Amino acid sequence: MGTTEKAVVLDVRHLRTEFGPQDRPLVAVDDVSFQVGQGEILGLVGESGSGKSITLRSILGIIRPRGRVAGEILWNGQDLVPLDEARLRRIRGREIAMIFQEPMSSLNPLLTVGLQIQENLVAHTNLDAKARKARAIELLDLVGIPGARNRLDDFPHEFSGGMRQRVMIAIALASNPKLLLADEPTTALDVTIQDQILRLIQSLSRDLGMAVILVTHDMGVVAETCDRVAVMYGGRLCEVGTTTDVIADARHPYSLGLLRSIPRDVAPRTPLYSIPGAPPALNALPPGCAFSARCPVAGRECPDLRPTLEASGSSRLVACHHLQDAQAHFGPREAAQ
Amino acid sequence: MTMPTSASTTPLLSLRALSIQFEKRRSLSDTLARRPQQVVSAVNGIDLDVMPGETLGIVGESGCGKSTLARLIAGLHRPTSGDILFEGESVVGLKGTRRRAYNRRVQMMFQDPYTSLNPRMTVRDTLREAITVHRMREGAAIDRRVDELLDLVRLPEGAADKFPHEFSGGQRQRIGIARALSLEPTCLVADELVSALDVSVQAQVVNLLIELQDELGLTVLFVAHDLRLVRHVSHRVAVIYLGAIVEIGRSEALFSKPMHPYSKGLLAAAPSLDPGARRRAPALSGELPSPLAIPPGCPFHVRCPHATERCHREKPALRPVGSGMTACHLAERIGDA
Amino acid sequence: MTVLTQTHSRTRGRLAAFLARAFARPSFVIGIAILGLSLALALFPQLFAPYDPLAFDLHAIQQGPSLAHPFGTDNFGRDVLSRVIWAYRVDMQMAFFATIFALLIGLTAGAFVGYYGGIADVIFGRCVDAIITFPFLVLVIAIVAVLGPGLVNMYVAITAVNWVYYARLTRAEIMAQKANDYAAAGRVLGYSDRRIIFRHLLPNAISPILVYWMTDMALAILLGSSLGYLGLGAQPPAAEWGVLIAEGRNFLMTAWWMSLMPGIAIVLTGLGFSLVGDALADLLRPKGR
Repeated sequence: MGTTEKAVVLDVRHLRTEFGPQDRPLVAVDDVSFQVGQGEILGLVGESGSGKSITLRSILGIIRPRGRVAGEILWNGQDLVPLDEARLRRIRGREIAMIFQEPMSSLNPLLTVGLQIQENLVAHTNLDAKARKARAIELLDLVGIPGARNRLDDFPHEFSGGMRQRVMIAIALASNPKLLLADEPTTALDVTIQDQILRLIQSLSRDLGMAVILVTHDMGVVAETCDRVAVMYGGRLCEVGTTTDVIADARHPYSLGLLRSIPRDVAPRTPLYSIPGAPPALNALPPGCAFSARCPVAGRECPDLRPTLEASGSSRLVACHHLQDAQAHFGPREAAQ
Repeated sequence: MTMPTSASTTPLLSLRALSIQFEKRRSLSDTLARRPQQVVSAVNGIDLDVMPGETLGIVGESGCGKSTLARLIAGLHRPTSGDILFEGESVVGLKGTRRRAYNRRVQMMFQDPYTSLNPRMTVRDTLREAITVHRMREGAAIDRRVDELLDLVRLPEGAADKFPHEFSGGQRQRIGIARALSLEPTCLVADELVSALDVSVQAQVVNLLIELQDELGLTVLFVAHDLRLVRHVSHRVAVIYLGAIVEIGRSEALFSKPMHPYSKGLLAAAPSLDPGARRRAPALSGELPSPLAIPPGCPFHVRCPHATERCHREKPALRPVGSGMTACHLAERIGDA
Repeated sequence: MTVLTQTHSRTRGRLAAFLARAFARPSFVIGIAILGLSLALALFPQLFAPYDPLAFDLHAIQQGPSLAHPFGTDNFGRDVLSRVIWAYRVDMQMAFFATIFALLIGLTAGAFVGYYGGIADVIFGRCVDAIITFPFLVLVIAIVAVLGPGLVNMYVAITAVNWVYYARLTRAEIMAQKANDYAAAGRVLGYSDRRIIFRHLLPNAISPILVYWMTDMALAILLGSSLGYLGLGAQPPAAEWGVLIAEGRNFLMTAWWMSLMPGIAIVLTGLGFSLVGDALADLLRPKGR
């Protein structure tokens, strides 16, 4: 995790988010640690219930229903976890912005797009009314909305899904954030539109030096967009590394299985590798490795003994007791293809 | 496994200039202002032959009409014009026994695992109902058949007497498959069968579908937006844009060398698992035009980087290009580019 | 056969679980207790009523509540408690008969137009608009005025107006259920429309309608006793709460119990229906996915 050459802007240490009663809590995020460097795009991949979205929301303190967050979330050295709502609000939306999966429900349907951008400018900048309007046009232009000047007075429903997501990004950019949290921003969109939005996020990150955490369930999105990737399963991290390394040479049995279950370079209509069973419910996780129940190489100790995230080679972290077995199990198939 | 030899057999299912238009509901103010009736052209003159035993993939973005096409074939909509021939006989507007007889042969599977099963019926009741209505079995053989079907889709013993909400998404889709198979159909229409499922579960269901198809000799129409999956399961693929086929051909040929600029863009936009193949610019600019106002000439010309004056004017017909069929004036030039 | 019994025991297990959840709610327990008692009183008034509700006792005219007459006596010396108890029979009947036909007609009509839509739906919509623009009570009174007073005519009048509300609710629920793919699946499986409507859609749509029915029975009692009070519903000397209140209205200053006691019975029974309806609304709400 550590070896990003860029300065670390966000350092999450031992994050734990739980819900429900104190004595029998539902642990949605369990001992998750990662860092994000300046201008870096980190992918957080996982299936439903893996805790990827809750991790993202925990950073901004916007988890609902209210959960308990423990651990440290160091934003430029300042721990966000103990901050009260008022102090958090000064960081939220200004230094750290967020965009969501459903652009329609995250925009106010009764306000024009221009007003919603300017609202954010009022909250986070000292610009006067005229400058705000100019900046709003500039922002819409930046996110690639054609005829930006004429669209300020349009309402959200007058935009298509892809355009709405662009508007959301424009609103998020209004305060010049240093970190953008993107929660499945393209899941509701079509591939060609998804491609446009991902390219946009990528170029914004590059041009503005903005760090991005991109939550997704799609390894393809990660491969095409992210610099590094963290794979989550059952609320825990199972593998972290640079995208190129993880895609080419995954080590954790879950990442291996996930990548193998996507058809690529396999003969048509041959059985795909499939991970047996379904993702676990958060209230039914074993004390040991969360993946042990579905793992092809799990040993007897795996359900009880929890693997820690340890370095495996340079710039790679993996949490598994049976790395060699996993390589052996998945290796021959790779060779056969 | 092998591609059926299309030349030697007659098509199982033929679509002839199939079109459907939906009239948009007019509000009172529209009527008073004498605004013209708005018409959504969901499917626009589709000609298609489906050979027995083959899997025909149908891809396109949301709103392109692929789901409507699936529902037309299953008999859920009545086409505005054109014809659907099953084993040479028209099946448009069938009623009563004849319609039941058609649907016994052509079954459909749905996208949403949560709403496609009656929540108040056990799996056994759901399957028994289909079997008894069509008199597929009598008496004690009915329950034996239910067990057989559940075994066929690899559902655990004891699943029969549970209600849908007791199953995971993947298991519910298996129940949907079992329900379709209970009538021992010849042809299955799969509308986004796995797109609502977790990635690790998708492979299980796709494997099952391919296995069942080979085992039972089924013809499958696989409607989906995930190009990797369509490529994996289909013998032939049709690419749909604004309710019309823009390209159709053998799966391998189409995916390795698309001839239509839209197919090219769609393939390039789909996230690949190769971080080395990143692009800075989006594969395809612009968005799908509203099906309320389909552009004249080639419907794709507004997004096409190659469009010429002719494309604005003249609608290209589907014609043989390379090994498949393409609807593009410039296919030869673009395809080889 | 074994399979059948298995299915049976499973269904029974579900019912038991449902009842266990229901009885864990105080509102349901209180409501069911009130309704249970009301039903018992309606079915077997002779077991509970200490006197003949119609028997005059000229030695005991307009006596206040006492041990002998806990609810007092009326201007003919009839025992008010006995009359209130016998009135349960009439008023519980009203709750049922004034709503059940509206429920059945509304369910059928609503399911039909909700499922088929089209021109039938448009005509239905206009009918609904026409009927609900009239104030409910005024319309019912007008119909009773034409038909003549009496319980049966009152049922007819109420049903003629009330079915619209059930139909409207059913139509909306059926339309919502019809949008689900299991309805489309039923059509692709070649099921008849009747089977899809009654076996698939209606069981999934019916919960909110039953809940509404519960509260509507409370309203029917209020409405029936209002009409009884106005002399358009049950006819004296029959014991009915609205009639009883009307009989006591001239003696409010001197014999308040004559009107108050049946009034309390109305409020209590209405409360019972409402509590059960509320509890059912919570209990029948579909579980989260």
